[in-house]
Amino acid sequence: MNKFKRLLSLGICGMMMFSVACKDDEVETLNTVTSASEVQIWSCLPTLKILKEKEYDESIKTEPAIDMVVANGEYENSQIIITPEKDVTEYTVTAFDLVHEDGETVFPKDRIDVYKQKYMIIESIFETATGAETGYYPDAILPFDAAVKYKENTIVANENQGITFRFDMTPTANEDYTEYDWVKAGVYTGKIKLDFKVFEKEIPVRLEILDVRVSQENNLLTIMGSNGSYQNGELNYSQDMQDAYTQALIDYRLAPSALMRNRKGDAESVQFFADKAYEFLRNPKCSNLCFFVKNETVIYTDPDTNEEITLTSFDRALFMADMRAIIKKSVEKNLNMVDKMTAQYVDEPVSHNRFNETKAQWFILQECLETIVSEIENTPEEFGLQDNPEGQAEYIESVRSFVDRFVVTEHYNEQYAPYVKCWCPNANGYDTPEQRAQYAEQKQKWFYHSKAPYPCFNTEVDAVNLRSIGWIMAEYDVKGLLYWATNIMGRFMKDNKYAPIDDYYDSNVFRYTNSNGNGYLFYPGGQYGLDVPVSTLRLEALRDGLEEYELLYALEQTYTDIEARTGEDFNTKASISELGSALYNGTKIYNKNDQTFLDTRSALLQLANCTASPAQMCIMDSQEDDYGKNTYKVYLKGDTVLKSNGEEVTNKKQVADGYIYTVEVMRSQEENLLNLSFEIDGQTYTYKQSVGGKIAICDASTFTTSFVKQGVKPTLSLVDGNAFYPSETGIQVLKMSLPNTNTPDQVIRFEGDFIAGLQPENRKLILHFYNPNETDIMITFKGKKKENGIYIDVTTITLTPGQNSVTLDLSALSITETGIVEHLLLYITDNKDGTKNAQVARDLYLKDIVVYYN
Amino acid sequence: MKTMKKLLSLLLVATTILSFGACKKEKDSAGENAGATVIFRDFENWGPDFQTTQLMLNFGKVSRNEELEFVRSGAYSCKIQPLGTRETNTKPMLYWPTISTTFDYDVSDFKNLDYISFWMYNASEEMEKVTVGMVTGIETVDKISTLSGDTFSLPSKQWTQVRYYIDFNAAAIASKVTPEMISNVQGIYLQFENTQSSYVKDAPVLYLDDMKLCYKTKDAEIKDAFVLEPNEICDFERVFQWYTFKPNIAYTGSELCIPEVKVVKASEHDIATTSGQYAMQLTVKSGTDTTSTKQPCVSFIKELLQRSDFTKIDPKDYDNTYFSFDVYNVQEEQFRFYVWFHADVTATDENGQPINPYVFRTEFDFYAQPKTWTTFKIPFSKINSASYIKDQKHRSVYNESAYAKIKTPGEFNLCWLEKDTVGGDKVFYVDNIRITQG
Repeated sequence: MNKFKRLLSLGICGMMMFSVACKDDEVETLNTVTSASEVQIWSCLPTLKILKEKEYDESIKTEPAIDMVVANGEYENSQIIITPEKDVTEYTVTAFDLVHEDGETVFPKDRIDVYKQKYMIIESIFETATGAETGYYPDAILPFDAAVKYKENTIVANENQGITFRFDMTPTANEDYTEYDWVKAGVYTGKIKLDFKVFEKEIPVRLEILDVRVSQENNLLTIMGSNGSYQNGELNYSQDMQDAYTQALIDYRLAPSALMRNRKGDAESVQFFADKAYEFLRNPKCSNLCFFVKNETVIYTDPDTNEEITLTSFDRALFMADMRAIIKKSVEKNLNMVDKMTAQYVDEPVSHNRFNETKAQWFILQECLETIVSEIENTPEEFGLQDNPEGQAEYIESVRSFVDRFVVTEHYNEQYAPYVKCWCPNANGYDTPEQRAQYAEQKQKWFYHSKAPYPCFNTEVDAVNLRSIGWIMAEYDVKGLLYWATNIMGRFMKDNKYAPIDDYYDSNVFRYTNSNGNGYLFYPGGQYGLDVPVSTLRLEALRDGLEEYELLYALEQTYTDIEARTGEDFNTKASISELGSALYNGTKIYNKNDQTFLDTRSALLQLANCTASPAQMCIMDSQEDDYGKNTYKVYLKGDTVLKSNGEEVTNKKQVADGYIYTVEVMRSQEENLLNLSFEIDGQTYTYKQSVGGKIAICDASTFTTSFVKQGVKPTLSLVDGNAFYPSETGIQVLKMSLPNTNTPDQVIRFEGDFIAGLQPENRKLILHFYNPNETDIMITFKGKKKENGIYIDVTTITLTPGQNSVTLDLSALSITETGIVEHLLLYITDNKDGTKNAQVARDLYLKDIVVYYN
Repeated sequence: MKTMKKLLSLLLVATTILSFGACKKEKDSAGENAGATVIFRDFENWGPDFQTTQLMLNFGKVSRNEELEFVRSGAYSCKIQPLGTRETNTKPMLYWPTISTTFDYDVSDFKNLDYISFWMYNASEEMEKVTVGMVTGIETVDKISTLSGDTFSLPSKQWTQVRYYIDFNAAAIASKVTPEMISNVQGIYLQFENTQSSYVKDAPVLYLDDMKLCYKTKDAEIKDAFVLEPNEICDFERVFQWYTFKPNIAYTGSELCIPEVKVVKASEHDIATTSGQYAMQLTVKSGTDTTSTKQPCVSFIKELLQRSDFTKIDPKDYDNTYFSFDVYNVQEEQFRFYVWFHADVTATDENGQPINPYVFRTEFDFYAQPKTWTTFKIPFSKINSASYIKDQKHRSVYNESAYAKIKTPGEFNLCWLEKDTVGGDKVFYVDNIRITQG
């Protein structure tokens, strides 16, 4: 119903029917909140997206309170949900100063930002792996002051209204970012007040700031598409607004893809670009920026074939002019900005079959870079590098290494490899060790978004997904993250064209093909009188994860330092992997709306706190066997005593300046913890990390009838397995005899109670196979979902001759209460190159299956 | 509440003044609005008044003004700070759509619209200008098609009432107008001067209020001014032809090389035309890159070919029929031009991806000889045998057999190489674009 029409109707009728208006007023009074008992105010996990119209089980609700443990230097959010039985016609939210436990220091209220969550309708779920449902999702977070000014501080009866509280622990920097004034660590307490006019509600606040600092220098690189059509939402198409978006991204530790919307390319324009780059790059939170990409048509002669091709290239003259200006500005300001410049130009060349263009682009880039190098060598005075051979060498290296920062969004491809130095696959291209090995030699590793359960920016995906990205990048040394567009405010038509829209908040989030919220992470601030964009819960979650990346990164640096000092071999990545294993596997992120993420984050904060202590505790190695035993190597400096579950750990060895302790945790309880503590300088440090739930070992006898015919019919029998497992006397294994086939695979089905009984809390299965053959065998596992009959690829593994341990990550199957697995198919073959059309008869032995619980 | 009051008072005071809201949902026929005045934007509400506003390239800023000094009626007006920037040569433009499904209105039928009226206050120290016109097509969020409008002066420090009379028969726009277009005008635009700055602080400050649509009692009669002589494509003698070409930024790599084009009386430039009195004066702007193969160009609208005899030529005559035109080269040296023909087809490639094919033949080049007229002739048979190429992004040659060319012509471009422009601006005259035989 449009407002005009409604008002007009009211006007016409109202002239005659004044009494009706009075009646309406009465009705309004009856339907509005009059007492506290009519409003439920509750807390829940900050990682949850609470839908506007959904009725939630009481089990996820807690007493309204804010209780947070945070690192110094980060932002962290909490949320309160208001669910009234009747309409709320007006309410306000007020933050107050928090007081430190010392009784004097104040955490000022202006460091607590209050936001109203705004909801967008999702009518179709495209991220089906999330198990998400349709409905109104919170996304934009509108500063509450603006909500009050524009009279949006109302709530409809029986709807949920989320309020986000963002606590800002970042230090204040001086003008040149060389000194920071950090917030005092410790426990602060205070309150938030909700005022409904007919009653008030105070929410207690406890904020514990640890003496663990999040680096204010951003150690990750990003390219976030920033030249979207934001102008119509903002009603502001100027450099001011472009800068506002750039700054907003930098505030989120992200980098824009462009600093300007258009370029003339003359000297003034080039200087403007260099000055603008410096304006932002001087802030250490801005770790990189992109060269302005403008197209030109180039006729290029392939040096190998002499073939002339016409292609659309980046504008060479503009690129080189900008590079020269960046070098000059860098020298002038003593800040090497060349090393911080990136570009993403060649987009998905393999899938678009653009080999010739990719190759030509590579040579064109080389020519441009070598031209600049030659200029530095021959006319260093043009760059302010005369009489400065070290500076010349530095910038020559920086220019030449630009090829390592010339991002090509594509998965590795052997044909293209000579012409691509910086692959940027979708995150699902970093999932397996084999995939990651393809990028092992890449100097700067990048990936970009994908679909859930992989890192995904779309609206229906839980905050845990975006928040886990930083953790995944830390584990796999991925330095760069790319997202294609953050501020497109139009509706995708085709061929990279967008139609205007005229409703930026209330419309359907479906603006891009088969995805919700794709292409925008900001909403316009213009209609709220703001000269900055309105942010989203998605950006908040992403930044939280990037801040956790910094903690992990710092942890790794500390470990490396201690490793060098002690001469011991630290398996740092295993520690990070161990922490992250509760959140993701490969790059698949577990879809869990429970306490797991916060517990894992808590473990990270504790570990960082312990590492920062005088004892410098490090979890230097973590190993997990296939049967639920986790073994940790823990370093402590000096003679500090380590305790596990309160008991002194005696299994230790002395190293250069301390001890390395060995701690074992068996997954024998429903919940299992690595629970370490030590005391130093009169202070007790603790480290608690969830190891996971109890494991269950299912021996071979459990499956004697579970493998049945699909393509072939296996003959199953229980046999003595001692020959294959000599150390385990009396063991029985399941022998699977597979007949020969005229097809490339021997396909069998794994079904029965075991499969049907798999639950969401089952994280993974480990199958112990014995391959008695002399050759490798490949098995591809696919799971069939009962509710939709779709087969989902789980994994493909190779069984080498002898004992094999096969891990099936069940997150790929997204098992939910309504989405159980009907059966697994096993495609068994020695047909590695896909050329055989027949398989010989062979035997295969299965010893047991170990079931892991979260 | 203020809007309600305003609408009520409008209803009570004058029955011929309709609120914008009254015209929504169903498309208004000319008859319903006959003689009425409809408030199109009074800027009292964010939606639709502000929320539907669409800004074109580097426009600047639009915001809600609450200072009553700059409000004509009600509580608010629209504050406009147009920019344009030095990075582009475009004039800042905004428009308001005449149709919105979100706000449930449709006032796109301009058949009997007499004029558009609004008030503007120019708060800057200098006289400003505003051009008002109609949007005839909304292709994308940043690409629209428009009809030439009228320009009004806005004296400093005062309110000015602007009345833009709708005259579809005006020569300046008649070349593009069709009866369907008049019943389906997509928006009303305002265009300002380019300030050469990117920052709002440098923009003039203007206020807009009370934008109304004022209707006549009967529909407009449209005459088709687009009339060509046999074999004529464009000889620049008719006024509508003066609006059929423009510098094409899309194909021009460097803004430095965007040409200047205008129609001139040849006798005033000491040259004799090959036909009539008028010719197109083309100033090729100098670039700086002696290696650049970018192609600046002038584009001619597709209607020139589509409404000429171009499509009517019998294929058996293609070998003896030519696309011809004359170029006078003022310089002492010869200069090379190219011609690109586009096809007006919408198609998909083998992967189902949309393509926008055009014909590109390097053979269609020629040298304009110095100090004389050079006649250039392209055989229809060559045009018809040219290969399609996908859009700039894909660049691969596309199978031409699926699409007609002579029968479905699009726009055509007169182009040159940027590297050939280095050394100074160059002046040419183009005349008598036509079809010739033999």
